[in-house]
This record gives sequence, C-alpha cells and structure tokens, in this order.
Amino acid sequence: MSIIEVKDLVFAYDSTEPDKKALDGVSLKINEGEFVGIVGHNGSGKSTLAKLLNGLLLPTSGDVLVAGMNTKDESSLINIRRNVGMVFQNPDNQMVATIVEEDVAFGVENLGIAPSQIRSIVDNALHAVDMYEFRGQKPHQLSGGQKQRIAIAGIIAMKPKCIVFDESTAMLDPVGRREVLEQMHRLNKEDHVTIIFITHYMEELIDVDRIIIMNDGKVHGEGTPKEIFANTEELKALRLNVPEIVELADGLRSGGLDISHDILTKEGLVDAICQLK
Amino acid sequence: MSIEVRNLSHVYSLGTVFEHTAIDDINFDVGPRDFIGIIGHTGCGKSTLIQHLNGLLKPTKGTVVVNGKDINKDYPMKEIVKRVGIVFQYPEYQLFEETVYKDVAFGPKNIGFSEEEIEKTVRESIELVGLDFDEVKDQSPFDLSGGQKRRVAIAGVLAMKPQILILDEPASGLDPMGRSEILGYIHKLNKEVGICILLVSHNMDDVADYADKVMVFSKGKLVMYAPPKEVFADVNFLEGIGLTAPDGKKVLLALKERGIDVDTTLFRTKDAIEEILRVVGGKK
Repeated sequence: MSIIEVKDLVFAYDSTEPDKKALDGVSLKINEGEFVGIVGHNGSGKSTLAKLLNGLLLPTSGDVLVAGMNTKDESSLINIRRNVGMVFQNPDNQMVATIVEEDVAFGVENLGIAPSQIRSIVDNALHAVDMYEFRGQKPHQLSGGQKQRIAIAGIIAMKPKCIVFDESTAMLDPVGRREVLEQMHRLNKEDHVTIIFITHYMEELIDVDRIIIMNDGKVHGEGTPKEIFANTEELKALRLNVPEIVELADGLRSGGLDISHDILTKEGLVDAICQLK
Repeated sequence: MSIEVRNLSHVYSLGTVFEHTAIDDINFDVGPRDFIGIIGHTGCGKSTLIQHLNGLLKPTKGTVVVNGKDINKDYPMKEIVKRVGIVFQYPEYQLFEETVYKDVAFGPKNIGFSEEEIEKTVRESIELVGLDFDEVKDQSPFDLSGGQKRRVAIAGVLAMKPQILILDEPASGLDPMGRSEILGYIHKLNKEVGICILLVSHNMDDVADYADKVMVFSKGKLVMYAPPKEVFADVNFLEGIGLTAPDGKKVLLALKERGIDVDTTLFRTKDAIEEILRVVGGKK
C-alpha cells in the first residue's frame, strides 16, 4: 500500500516562465514502511520534490497524494503535514526554542494536544533519539549531530507516518552522520516509519530498500542499492558516483580479481578478498 | 608566505556566564605552498581558528604572524585580507551582484586595485575555477547551477590574489561530480599557482587524497599535526574524537586482522587497490 503517490508532477518556480521546469513529469509511489533514497545532481529537482511531498510547495500541474489526500486540497494540508515530517540540512535553522525540550514540544503544542499529554510525548521522543539527558540544555551547547537528533525528536513527537530527510547529514562530522543515519534506520525498523532520504553521500544508501535517481527534473531510474551501484559509469555520467567501497571493488576487478558486482560493504569486500587468497 | 600561530586562545563572552573557550593554546607553523587539511568534530573550534588567520577575530591570547609580521599589530586590515583569503561554508549565499563579473570584481575593487588590474584578475580568477570567462561574465550569478555559483564565490576571493587560501567545507552540498571538480581546482591552485591551501573538511577521503599535512582538532585543542599517513594510523583515536579513517585504510586493517599481510600504513583508495592486487595477485 502506498503512502505517497506522485502523478505526472510538474513544477515551475516562476509562473512567468512556465517552461523552466524544476520538475517535469515525475510519477512515483512510496510504499508504507519503505526506506527510499533519492539521489541526483545539483539542480536535478530532489529538494523541490521533497517540498511538494507535504504541501510546502504545490504542483504547477499533476498531483501529490499523501495517504489518499491531495496536497491541492487546502482543508487536508494540516493532516498531510501530520503525516509527512521534514528534517532539513542545517540544524541551526531548525531550532525554534531556547531549551531542548521546548524545541521538541513546539510542533506537538501546535497540533493542539492537551498539555498533560505533551510531557510524556516529548519525553518519549527524546528517549527515542537518545537525547533525554540533554532535555534542559540550550541547543547551541549541542554538537551538530545532537542538534539534528533534536530536530528529529521534534518531528517524531508529532508521530508522522513518513519523514523526509533532505540532506540532513550534509553538515555533520563522521560520527554525527552515523548517529543520524542510525536514527533513521531505527525509526524505519522499529516504528515502521516510512523514510525518504535525499543525499549526495552514496555510502549512506547501501542499506536502503530502493534508490530513485533524479536527473534534470525527471525520474531517471530506480532500483535496489545493488542494482544501482553496479553501474559506475552510468552514475558518473549523471554527475553521481558509487560508494568508496564499490570504487575499491571496481578497481580490484579491473586489476583482474574475481570480485562480485554486488558487494557494497567493507565486510563483504574483505570476505571476498579472503576467499581469493 | 608563511603562518606562525603561537599560544593562540579565544574565549567567547569572556567574563559572562556564557564564557566559552573555543580554542585553547594553539601552536603551529604553515609553510609556503603547503596543502593542509583541517579535521575535527563539529564545534571543535576549526571555524574560530580560521577567522583568526585573517584578522576577522582577535585573539584573547597569543599571536598570529603572517610573513614575519603580527597581523593584529603590524598590518592594516586591508593588507591582511589581500594576503589571506577565506571561503566560508556555502559561500554562494554571499553572491549579490547583477553579473558574475561585478561580483568577482567586488573584492579587488574594495582593496584598491586599478581598473586594469581588476579586469585582469577577474578574468584569471574565473578561468582558474574552470569557468568560461566570456560565457559567464554577463550572466546573473543566480542563474548558474549550484556548483557554478560555488566556483564564482571562490573566484571572488581568488581575485584579491591571496597567497594563502582557507576554505571551510568547499564541497559540502555539491553532487559527487561537483565535489571532485571543486577539489580538483583547489589542488591545481596549490600545485600550479603555488597558493598555500588550508582545507577544512569532514570528508576523510578528500583529506587523504589532497593534503600534505593534517591538523586534527578536538574540543578546542590542536591534538595532532602530521602527514596523513600518521594521522590516519590510529583509527580508534580518530573515532574517539568524532572522526574516522578513509575507507581504503579500514579495508586494509580488516584484511590484516584476517591474516592477509597488507601494508596498513596506506590510506588512499587507489593505493589500497594496488596493495591488495600486489598481495592477492591480480592479472599480470
């Protein structure tokens, strides 16, 4: 069953220049509980697509349906945004309060939930991202990864069925990136939240269910990580790349080693090399 | 062109309840034509440090000496920004002029270059970052792609003819091809033009590929300053301070653990490939 359905979606930022299309005939379905990665060159339309998924932008033509509701239907917008949460790139731009727990409570309070329930919802959300002990701190005292986890807590407090992460790891250090990535996978596996993850870091996508490639405002193709990363040359032509481990495996294969095309992880590569020895 | 930093500390909001030591007793030397990588967890003090290197921040304690002269005593500000250029994160947000030419010309104009010098340096700078001068000069910078905007912003700093160029995450937010293009041009600026580069990055593979020496910051301290081979030698140490090792290095270490006798001091992906082929035996 699909939670998001995009049909013949066209979007132009400037209504006086309708031919300059950021999105040009995109159709896709995201299934409930799926973890989908979206990749594409700068300007390919990824972030525009993300903003159309919960009605931050509305289609120039075509439709976006969230749990059957059309984003063009203004009376559904609040409900659509409860279903689809967004986490953006810069953690500093997403903090609205001066204390961590107030920041997490901001979204829930706006949903009109009784104050008596808000306490436990916020506590649970903070526990979920492993940030409960920081609840009384000021956001600026946290690291980038911690701030993104607070942004995630603010979103999961609203219990959305789907969360869109738009390059949410881009500004983080290696450990911060790993923390945020682990949270995404935990939300997906344990709480069955549908995850849509836009990134330029190919190695962050080796564990996703499906990768969608955007190119010049269109869906260029899709497949499992193994299928997508088997075509290094095609990805490079689209201004993309493969994860570093795949590049290493490619190099060994060109050097004559019999290494399978579907290796994506360090462990897999090490096993394969050991079998050759 | 050299930099000597001695006992440099910076405390924000000194004397208030918000007092916070961002960098603490930093000492290092950078030589002419060096390519230095700067790594460290978010909030480790990297950005505070680089703002001291062209006088944007004044030290709470210590000195910054560029070419033998203290930048906070012996240079007028205009002189120091000519010598040390900083490209901040997402520099394309700072583009503002109507045309690419005017935007790149803004810096040199402000520091008093003549019309003739401006025209020459704008052309050279735009070409140095791999854009076609005649094609882009009259375009609005806002009509360019993300990677092109980033390059115009870098050209705007290059146009002031700095001998030291500091870049804070110049590739972040760019697609993989844009990333390698930008880093390629920075590498060329260092090797062919002789500009000293300080590159702040969270990407260990990029640092491994380009830097001759690496500064490692943690919690406001410079904890290591050595060639990449030494910096990436201790993976546990790096992970303990929010960093990691390049993937090539991790594969070699894992192979060694499984009893395959590879040289684990290597760290670049292309070197790891050669080493594995050498030991396991590729096609001859």
